[in-house]
Amino acid sequence: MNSFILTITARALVPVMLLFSLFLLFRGHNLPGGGFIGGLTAGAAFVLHVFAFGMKHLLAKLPIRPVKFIALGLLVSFLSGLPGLITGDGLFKGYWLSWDIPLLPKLGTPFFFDVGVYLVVAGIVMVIIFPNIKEDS
Amino acid sequence: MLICILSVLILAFLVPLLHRFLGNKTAFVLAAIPLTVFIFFLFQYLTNSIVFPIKEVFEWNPYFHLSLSFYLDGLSLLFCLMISGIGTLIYIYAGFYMKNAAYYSRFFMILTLFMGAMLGLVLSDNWLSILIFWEMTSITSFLLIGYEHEKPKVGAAAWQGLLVTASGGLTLLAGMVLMAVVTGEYSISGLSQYSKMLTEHNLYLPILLCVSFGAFTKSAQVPFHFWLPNAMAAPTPVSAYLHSATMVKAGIYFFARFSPILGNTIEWQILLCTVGSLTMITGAVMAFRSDNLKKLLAYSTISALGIMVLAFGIGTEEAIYAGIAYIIAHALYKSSLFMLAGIIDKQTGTKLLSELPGLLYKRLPLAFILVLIAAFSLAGIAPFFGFVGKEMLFEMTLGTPFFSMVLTVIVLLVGSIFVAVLLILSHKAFFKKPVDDGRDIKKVHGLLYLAPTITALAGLFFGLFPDTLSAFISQASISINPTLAPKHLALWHGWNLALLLSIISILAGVGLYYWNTKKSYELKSRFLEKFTPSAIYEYLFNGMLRIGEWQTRKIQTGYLRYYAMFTLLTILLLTGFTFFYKAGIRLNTSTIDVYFFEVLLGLIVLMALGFTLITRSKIAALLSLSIVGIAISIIFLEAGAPDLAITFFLIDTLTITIFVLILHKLPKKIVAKNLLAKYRDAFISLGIGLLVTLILFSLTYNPLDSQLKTFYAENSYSLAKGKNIVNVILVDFRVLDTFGEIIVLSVAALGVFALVNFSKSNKRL
Repeated sequence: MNSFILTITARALVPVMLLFSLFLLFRGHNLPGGGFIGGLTAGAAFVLHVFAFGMKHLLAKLPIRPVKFIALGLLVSFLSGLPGLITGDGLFKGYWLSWDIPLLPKLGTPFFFDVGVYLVVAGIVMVIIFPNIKEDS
Repeated sequence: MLICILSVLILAFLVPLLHRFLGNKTAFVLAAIPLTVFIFFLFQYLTNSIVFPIKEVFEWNPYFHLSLSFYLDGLSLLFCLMISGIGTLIYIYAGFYMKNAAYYSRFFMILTLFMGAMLGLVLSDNWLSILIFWEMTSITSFLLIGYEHEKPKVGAAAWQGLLVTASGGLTLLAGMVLMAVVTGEYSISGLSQYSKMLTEHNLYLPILLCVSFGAFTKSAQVPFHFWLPNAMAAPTPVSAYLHSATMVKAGIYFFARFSPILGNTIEWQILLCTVGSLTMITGAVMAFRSDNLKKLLAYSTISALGIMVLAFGIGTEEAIYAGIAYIIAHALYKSSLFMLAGIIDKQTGTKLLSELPGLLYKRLPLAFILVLIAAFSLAGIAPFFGFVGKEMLFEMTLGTPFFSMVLTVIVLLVGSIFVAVLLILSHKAFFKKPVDDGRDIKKVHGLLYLAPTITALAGLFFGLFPDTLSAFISQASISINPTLAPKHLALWHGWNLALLLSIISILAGVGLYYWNTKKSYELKSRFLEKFTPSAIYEYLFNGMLRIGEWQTRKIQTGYLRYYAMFTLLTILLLTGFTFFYKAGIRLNTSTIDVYFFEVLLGLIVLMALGFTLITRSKIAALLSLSIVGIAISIIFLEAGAPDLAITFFLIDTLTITIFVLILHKLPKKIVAKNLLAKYRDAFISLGIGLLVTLILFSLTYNPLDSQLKTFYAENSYSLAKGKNIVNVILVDFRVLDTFGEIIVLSVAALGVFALVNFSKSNKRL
């Protein structure tokens, strides 16, 4: 799509949307938000990017293929459940760090699980929508 | 015991790797596996037989009664030794037989898997694991029968075997579940104390029928016997191992195992004796009529299996001893006969009796002698072990408290036919008139004869010195009935009625052979052929396929609108029925508050829906539909569920995006429908809407009083360090659910990805 308005808007909006999706992810544990909502927002941002700049442009910029987002997300979620299994408290037992890190939310295994959900959902949005986008080129 | 089974199963998967390094020698290396298992169990028998039964329990999930438990007593020991002992010989035999075969490593991998499964089946104590091993033997048998899968007939035979035995597995499952319901006991060894409770329970007959149906299919009893002759499409080592010595005996093992639990009732005796006798006669007659060597042996196996079922059906002391002795005798002579049939097939190029070259005894002298030894055992002629078995069978039928005469006559008849079969195998096969058709005998490796020689000579040895097996057979019999006195086997029982009957059967058999030698083999009557069990199987099989096709054509039309229609209609009918029948409409107007802005939202939604219905443009319909989604998320927001509202809003946006993207793939104009279809669709849509509304009203009839809500509200911060209850539930309290959900989502996404990209070479994503 060669729309000047769309390109300019996307250039401004996509980074904001991605940042906002991270914001939603980070605040999720205490306020409305979370991995699922964040992932959807991030997926929407990538879709907007493809509308404005084309698929090739996005795939060149992404570090990994969209399908791998799903795989990576599942892996992160699964790994977040393992500490409990090793200590014997049971799968997916939550552990939290006792100190805070600036700019980041309180860190703990449930947060990493949410990060996994975020990645999976963002990947799913891309994987389902992208094949349907018919490119002019 | 666990180590035994586990190492066999693990080694099975290493076979392809071994084959890469060892080539055609793999089989001989693999033969070390069953040999080790054999020595292990022999050692157990020699050193530990006083402390039998040995139990090994690995708890896994006690709540669901899932534990890996193994149980070694005389009976399972007998089967283990048979599986591993004959297994060793089969590996050696197959090593020569399958030399340079196309799927060499696959064949041995599945064979090893089968052996592991079979060991597991006879050693397991928990019936859940028994069922798993049972199905494993069915599946490996399927793969082995279908070894030459390029031939359509072989494929059909493999399917037949699988479907018959797997349906038996299902009824076995049902029987086991019923037993667990009645007793609450999940281990076979623990069930015997509930014997009285089970046999007097109302559910006894269903349990008995289910369990025996399963065992009947596995052991090829009438009327499920037809799969076994067809299974002869498998390579000969498989026929010798699975379909004569081990797998088909799994059903016999079950009867032996269950006779202290379910046995000794009139129902048990009637069922097993009837089926066993019918199978004996059918198998023997069909064996006598067969022209194909392997089918002849298969039918005689069926007959022998019938004899064993009869023995455990009678269940007296003599019967149990006879059954156990006959299991051993049959395993020895039948496996050697099968292996010899394979050798004859290799050397002459035919399995058909009528096509064998003339004067074979001169050209294959070793094969002739071995066939003679094994077949004498089959016919029950002294001094071979089969004779001991047959004498015991006569003693059993003579001592039966019911229908003694009838059963004796049946055994006598089958015995005579077996003698005739001996003459077919020896005289007819090896002494044909010489016809000079220029066919040569192919050379085979001399060691191919090793395995059948060992089994045949073992039959001779145990015939001459049957007392060597006495302690062993007693041990196995005691595990069926602990009150039995040890038995001493002997070749010579003195001049008694059993010996007289043996002599009569030999004479009758010789007479039968010469009388019938010129009769043709084909089943003449076309009319009768329609009612054979295998024909009925064909009807059922084809009928099922046809119903499946018809149903798929009707329901899976390929049009999205019909899928939606069927789904909604099903929900409407089933949920509606349950709702009205079980719950009924309950309406409490006092709990329903309506605010002004909700009315406003409702009006907007109605307008949007109305526009969706009347517009002719698809994009307009889509956009007005999205208004509904936004309105719903506003309602969520107002009701105090911001997370839900945001999620709904995002999902709605993305859905609309997808719709817009695939709009060009849908028909250009909205399809004009006829009036009837319009009314139908209106009925379904309004019905669903009405139903959901009514259900919601009924649900809110009583104010929700859930303790969960207070629990989460109180503990969310203290236990999970989060203030957003929704998120805390998702990532902490119910995290396993969420994990399952994201896996489902991922799989669904991959499915969509695969479907959409099916025709493209779009692999960039």
